[in-house]
Amino acid sequence: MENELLKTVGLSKHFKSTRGMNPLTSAKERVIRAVDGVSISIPSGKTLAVVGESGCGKTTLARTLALLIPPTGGEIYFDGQRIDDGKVDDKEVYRRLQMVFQDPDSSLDPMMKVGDIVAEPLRGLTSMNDSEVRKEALESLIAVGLSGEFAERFPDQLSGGQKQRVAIARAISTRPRLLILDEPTSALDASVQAQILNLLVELQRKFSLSYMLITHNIAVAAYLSDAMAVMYAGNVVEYGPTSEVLRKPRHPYTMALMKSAPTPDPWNRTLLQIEIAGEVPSAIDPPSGCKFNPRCPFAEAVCTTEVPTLSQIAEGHTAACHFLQKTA
Amino acid sequence: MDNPAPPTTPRGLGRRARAAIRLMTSNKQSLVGLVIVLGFLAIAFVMEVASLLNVQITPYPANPLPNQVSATLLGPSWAHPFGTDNIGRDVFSRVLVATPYDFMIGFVVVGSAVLVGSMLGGFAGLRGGLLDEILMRVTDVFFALPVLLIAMVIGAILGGGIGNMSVALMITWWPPYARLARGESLKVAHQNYIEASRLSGQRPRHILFRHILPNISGTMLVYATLDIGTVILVYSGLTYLGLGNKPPAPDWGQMVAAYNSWLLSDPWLALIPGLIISIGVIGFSLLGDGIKETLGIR
Amino acid sequence: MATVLQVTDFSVDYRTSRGEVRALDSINLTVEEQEFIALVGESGCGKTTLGLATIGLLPPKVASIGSGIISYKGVDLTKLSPNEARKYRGSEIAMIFQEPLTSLNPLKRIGEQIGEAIVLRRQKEDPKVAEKLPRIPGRAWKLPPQIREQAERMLALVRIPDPDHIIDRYPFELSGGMRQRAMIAMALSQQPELLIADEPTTALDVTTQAQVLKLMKEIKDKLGTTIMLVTHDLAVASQVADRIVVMYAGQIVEDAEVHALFSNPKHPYTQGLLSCIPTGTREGKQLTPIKGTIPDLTLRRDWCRFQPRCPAAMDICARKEPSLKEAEKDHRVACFLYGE
Repeated sequence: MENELLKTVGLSKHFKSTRGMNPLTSAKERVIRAVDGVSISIPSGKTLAVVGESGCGKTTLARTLALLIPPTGGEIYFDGQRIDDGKVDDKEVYRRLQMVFQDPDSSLDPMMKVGDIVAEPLRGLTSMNDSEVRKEALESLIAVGLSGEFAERFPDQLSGGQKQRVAIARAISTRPRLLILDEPTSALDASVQAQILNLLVELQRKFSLSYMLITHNIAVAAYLSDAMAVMYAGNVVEYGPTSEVLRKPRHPYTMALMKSAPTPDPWNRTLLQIEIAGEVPSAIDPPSGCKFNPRCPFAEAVCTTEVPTLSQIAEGHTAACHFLQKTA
Repeated sequence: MDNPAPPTTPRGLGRRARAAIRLMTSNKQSLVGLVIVLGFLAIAFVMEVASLLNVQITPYPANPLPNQVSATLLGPSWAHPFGTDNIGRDVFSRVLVATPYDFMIGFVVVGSAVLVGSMLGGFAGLRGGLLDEILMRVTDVFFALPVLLIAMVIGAILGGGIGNMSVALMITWWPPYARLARGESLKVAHQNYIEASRLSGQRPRHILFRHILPNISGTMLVYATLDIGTVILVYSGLTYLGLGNKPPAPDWGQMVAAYNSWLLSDPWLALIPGLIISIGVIGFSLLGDGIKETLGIR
Repeated sequence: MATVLQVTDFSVDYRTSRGEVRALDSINLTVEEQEFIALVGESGCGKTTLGLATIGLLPPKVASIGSGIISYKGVDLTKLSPNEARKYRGSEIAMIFQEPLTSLNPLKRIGEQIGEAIVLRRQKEDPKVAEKLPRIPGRAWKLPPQIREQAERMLALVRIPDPDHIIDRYPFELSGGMRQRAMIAMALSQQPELLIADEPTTALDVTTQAQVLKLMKEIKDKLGTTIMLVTHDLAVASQVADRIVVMYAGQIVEDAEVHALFSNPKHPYTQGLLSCIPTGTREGKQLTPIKGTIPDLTLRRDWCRFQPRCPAAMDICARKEPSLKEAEKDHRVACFLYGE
């Protein structure tokens, strides 16, 4: 497929468990499969939302794609180039791939001025001289809706929304092509969240950006994304165009997730209709076969022995379930 | 668009200095401590300048020639606020002259400990892994060295004197700072802005100096402030044991030792230098405790 | 339906380093028996303060109650002595919080904590009961069989799987959702009339949140408990509450039955909140955020607090403060758009 800005093939990240376990019990290998064979792609100028709850691996996926953690297996392609094999200089990558984090308070160095914060990628990744750096940083600040005078301020003088704008300004200062957004609005009030979402839409249009949006908030994911990948316990369980996944989810977990997402609609209380039980499985000792099977209302014997793979439902829409006919 | 925040402040340094001053004057305790410390600092500064210019500004010479001495063993009076000693030297002048050494050594030793400890510990916390282990084990080794013993060994091999004793103290004083810096650095290293710095292509050295050290400096300095008093006390102990500057150069601790024999007959001789040491140490204690209380640190 | 809680002209001030903040300003609220009401608002609106004031847990040194009354079944809670207040706290009015880790004692097993609540209830019913949970130091712990059975029933009520197993566990051995349920079980063990829940699901996963909220609705339906849910999430409130109370900067700006509020939001702030919530894909509509920011509560105003941000502000809004009045049957609003 042409025009794939970011692509992963069977990407995995495993951690060795260091938790003290009883040495007398099984010598079974204690590995946490945080990301277990994930294949996704993001076309140029589009947004992919990676949706899931805690422990699903979406944050680990984001950090692996940003090369902050080395992958255990699989391949990552960025702009046609393989970037996970250590042969590419990470500075080359970071000029075109940046990240915005969840917590605005810990995203900005409290000892640095806003202007320097925004300029840091320019200083570290380009060979611009000081006045060029300043000019670019200023433009980024203005692009996110903050006036130039903010450059002289310190983070503790800013509100949560302003801090997140600074983080975004920093991320776009080198005019990257892809932004990984890790829960960019989860820590913000409703009205500030709306401002930031509008900003993200505007910036995407203005700078032809691609976004990978990591979130547990279905409403935000639906609003911003063109395609959605639903993750559960390290695997992608459903993947397809956002409108499709929302309208006609086929994986039982996706269905439960969609029902659980609170919508401001008192006439349609889907939240009270959920039938899911139990909790997200333990990362060290997940269920065998399909990891969702203990909680799945449609599970049968085969679900405990065989891991389902993604199978085609419609054009571009796949789900990993043995009994897709039950959810049709 | 959000409303702009309150007016800006011009420079980072000015802000921190103002915040520091606010901290130090925030409650009665720290204010008293600050006054004491500043008083001593002023005297130390003046005395040091005087000694560099070779000018005597004390009422009497600290190391008088035989023809310059006053009567011996005079009690405190207007002429001699701290009295005179067994040789007729004015104790007040001697105490003043000793101030630059005995007081400033606290700053010298703690200053170097903060520098060395911050960089070592800060780096260990940032990198983690094997490097962290190695650095911390090295720290442990130095931690185990007893201050007094090292000082006496160095005293025996290289002789006493403030220079050698400073070295002895500097060798043994930094490990707690490395431990503290590492702990603080670990807290900071998980912040998102450190990851953002990596995403900006910055190398660990840059991250250490630009991000880690400035953010741990607050805690380090609070700890250091309390510690300066301790160094002064320890150094007085060393000079008491005879490891300080050789007589007739005055040293507070050394004076306490020398005037010991007159404790019953002319108590002011030994007690007053001892009192001066105590006041100096208490000044830092009050300042540090006052700051801790304001910051709510236990 | 009887009235469980009647708040009249209630105000609370906080002493902060920046000055005095009026966290609650002349709150007027009525809560009926078995009602599920939601206090909704953004940070700093005072919703948590109202919850804490009701149960009597305002921080003593910094919070001062102004005039006004919180009346629980006719008793003025604000005038009670600490001893008297303790009689109500837990047994009549219970509260659960956002982070169960800080509310559950990490050193005591779940069963023990629920057991204590059960014992407290028994003592209130029959003061002669000198029952106390036995502490056998150094030995495996034991709950008296009656209490253990009741504790297991409470855990089953909140749908904790394997209650006989969980009862012996410590809080840190449970997941977030289970801890929250354990806390609910503890709160319910004293059979309270009123349960105040302060952001109980904010820290939980979406599916766990749905389960816990569904549970709370069941509790209201099955046990007849009155529930006051404090949340910043209007969508969550819409899914479970019977009535929604919208708060802004320490005041109630709108108070209506849930369907009425969503079909006909009257206060501009409520309308603003609703248009902030992303629904559907962006092809649908652009989000219209509320311009400006939450006001500085150290500055007193005697005009409408929302005025600087209000798209419908009129002259009078900058001169007088609107009071909460009924604009329609059972739909109260504090806004000059609906009369003076």
